[in-house]
Amino acid sequence: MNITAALGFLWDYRLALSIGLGNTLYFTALGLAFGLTLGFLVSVVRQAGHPVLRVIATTYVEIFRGTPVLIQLFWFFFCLPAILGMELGNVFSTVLTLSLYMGAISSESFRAALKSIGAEQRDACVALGLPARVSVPYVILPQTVLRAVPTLLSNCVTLFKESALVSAVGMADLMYQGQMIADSTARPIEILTATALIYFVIAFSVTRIVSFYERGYLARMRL
Amino acid sequence: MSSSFLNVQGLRKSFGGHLIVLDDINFQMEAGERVVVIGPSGSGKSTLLRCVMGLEKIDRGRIELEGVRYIEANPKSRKDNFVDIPVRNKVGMVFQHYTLFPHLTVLGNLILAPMRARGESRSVATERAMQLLARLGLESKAGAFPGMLSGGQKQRVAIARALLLDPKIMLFDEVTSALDPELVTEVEGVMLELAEQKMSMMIVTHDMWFAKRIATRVIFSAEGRIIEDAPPSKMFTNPSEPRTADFLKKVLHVETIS
Repeated sequence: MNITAALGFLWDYRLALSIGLGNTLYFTALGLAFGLTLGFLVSVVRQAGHPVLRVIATTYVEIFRGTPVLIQLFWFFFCLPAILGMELGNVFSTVLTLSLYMGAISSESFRAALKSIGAEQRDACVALGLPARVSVPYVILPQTVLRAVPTLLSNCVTLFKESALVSAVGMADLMYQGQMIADSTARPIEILTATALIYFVIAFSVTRIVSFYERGYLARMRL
Repeated sequence: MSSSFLNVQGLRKSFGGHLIVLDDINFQMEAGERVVVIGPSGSGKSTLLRCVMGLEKIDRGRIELEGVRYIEANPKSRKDNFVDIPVRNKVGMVFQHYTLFPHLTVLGNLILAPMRARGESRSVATERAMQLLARLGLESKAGAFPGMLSGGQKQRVAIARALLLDPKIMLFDEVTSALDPELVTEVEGVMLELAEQKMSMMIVTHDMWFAKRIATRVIFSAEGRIIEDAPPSKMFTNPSEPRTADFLKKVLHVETIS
């Protein structure tokens, strides 16, 4: 295979790939934003919520962690609209699935970090008269996030890669575009390798950058 | 209603309903008193302080501050206590392991509660915090994170954090136990200064010499009960109860050899 020819071929499809990448980043970003928020709230509920809420939260986490994302996608694309008798919109269904999946896997990371914040920190909050509306956002959340960064980071990379599954329900993400080009040109090797490289470069750089800041920050605080 | 400043009545605390840690504690103190609680490990000293702070659910009894009930057990349910939070917030506490917030600077630790829980403006809270830090010789540490401080500095910051809320009474739970010996005096120095300003205090400590120096009253507790309650001059030289004498003989003896 001629490398220059392969690169030239890829260059011709740069626009289609960029559109796909844009969609992938869009779905991932929304999935991360909603999913991480949901994950934190679920972890708090599982730790300190009403017993009934705890059961609901645990059931949710177990279902979404224990089933294939692909089936979750099909479910929210086809079954849920049928049950509700209304259209949900493809983007809505995509983001909903990714958020719920991210919520489930990140809640486990948050939960482990929450547990590692000792009872002593909670005692200090009571002794200082901090109500939950202060202690949760100013004491518990920042420490939980800082402690959970390494595992959350891998959750985020997981979501970014798993988001490729939305191509299976026809969403035009990076994976979908790659597949389309591969099918229409019958040159899957170049195009799929390039697609994988794009996923890899983004995941790798984000991981490196976050780890760098995390190390500096955590060292300063000796958490 | 009693006219005492702090009034603990019929307090019983158990863990899981079986392991009784405090049993029918009745205890009163007046404003300005400094009560040191001594006794063997597991005698419930720290638990008593934690109950007064409202950190533990109590099985029976009630606790009043300045004649106002702020914690009371519910006779029907061991898990459900009445708590008057505004009154409870007049109690301040310092712990053995500092419990500073590691992600906030020294100043951030001090002003969090005044700003976020009491609605003070950042500038007022910061000014008061800096004044207090200056008094404790910690001005230069305002921007430092707790992880960068020595144990003695951390504990002084923890005391400052509690003091900034203008507590009516301060509880000190073995605050020097985790410190290296050379750092103990700087923390005890702050406490002695508070004593001069007539701060009401309840102190749990293993340091009998410090107890003798700071206390206006000493309580000896064992097996969840108050065995003896006397001024330090009497407690340390001529205790009435044989168990107190026995305990003091042991700890003072150990301290002289070590």
